Amino acid sequence: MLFGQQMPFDLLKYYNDMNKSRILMTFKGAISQELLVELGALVRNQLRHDDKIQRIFAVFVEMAQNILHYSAEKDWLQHVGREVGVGVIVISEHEEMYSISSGNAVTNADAERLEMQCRYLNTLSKEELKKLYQERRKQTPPEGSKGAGLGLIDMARKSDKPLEFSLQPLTDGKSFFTLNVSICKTVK
Amino acid sequence: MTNLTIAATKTTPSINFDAQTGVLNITGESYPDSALQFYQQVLDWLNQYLSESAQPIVMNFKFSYFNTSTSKCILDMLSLLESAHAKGRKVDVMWHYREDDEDMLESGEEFAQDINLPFSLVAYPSQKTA
Repeated sequence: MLFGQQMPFDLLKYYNDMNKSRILMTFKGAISQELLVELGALVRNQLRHDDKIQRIFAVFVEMAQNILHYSAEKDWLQHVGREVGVGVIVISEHEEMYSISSGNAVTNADAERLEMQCRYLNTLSKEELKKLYQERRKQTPPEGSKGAGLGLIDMARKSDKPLEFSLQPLTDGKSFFTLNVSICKTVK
Repeated sequence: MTNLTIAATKTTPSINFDAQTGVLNITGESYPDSALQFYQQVLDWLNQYLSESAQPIVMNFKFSYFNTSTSKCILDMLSLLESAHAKGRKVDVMWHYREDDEDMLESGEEFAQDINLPFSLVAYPSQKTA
């Protein structure tokens, strides 16, 4: 039943899909620090009774700050007076686990580095990841890093499954990088 | 030397460094846009305090959450304290964690492994909210 002009975007389908996939939070666009804080508060509120809330929140912050700082797609935000990264973040709930996923454009040079890093981290045990994290923290941050280059290692440590990642070519010497971290509801 | 007092924000902890008593408190959450930038003032104060005074130090960390770039800054602070301690300064580090926050306990244990300082892990009761 349609009244007036047809919608250019099927909102009911979108709404139902989000319900079916149990999306707890999703955002696509320019991620400023201020927005990150608000989205984080939303996530915390939705998961306030869940004992995995701290881990999910921690992964969310690392992903959102990675997009903010390193996305190869930038947007100028008038209200904060600076340029921030653009990307997408989705937190969804499944039978046994939560998924925290991010996607954003990266330069092909970064793509290669990220792929190598993710592959390498997935070969390490939790104990080896812990060691690597401690070693890396003692070193000076990698070139171009605004944080400590520790985010990916920390996410790999918190993930109850290997890091799931993909790189798809975009135009202009860029690729689209996706990362998924799984947090089991029952595993300690 | 004047105290260092910084009020907490949504993404930065409160800083209360008392130059007279040597009790240095960092309390709250830490995930600022740039941790390096925020903690520079803290490191600067600490550097000056270590060189200008001989007062024993009790360093209290009471974080409910910190991100990975903050983690690096915490280690930088501990490294300064470690060097002072090696030169004879009395330094005690107290790492406060909520009793049911195993990740925060583990973070404390890892810092304790990384540095050579008297380091205590102190649990505080969790306040269940409805």
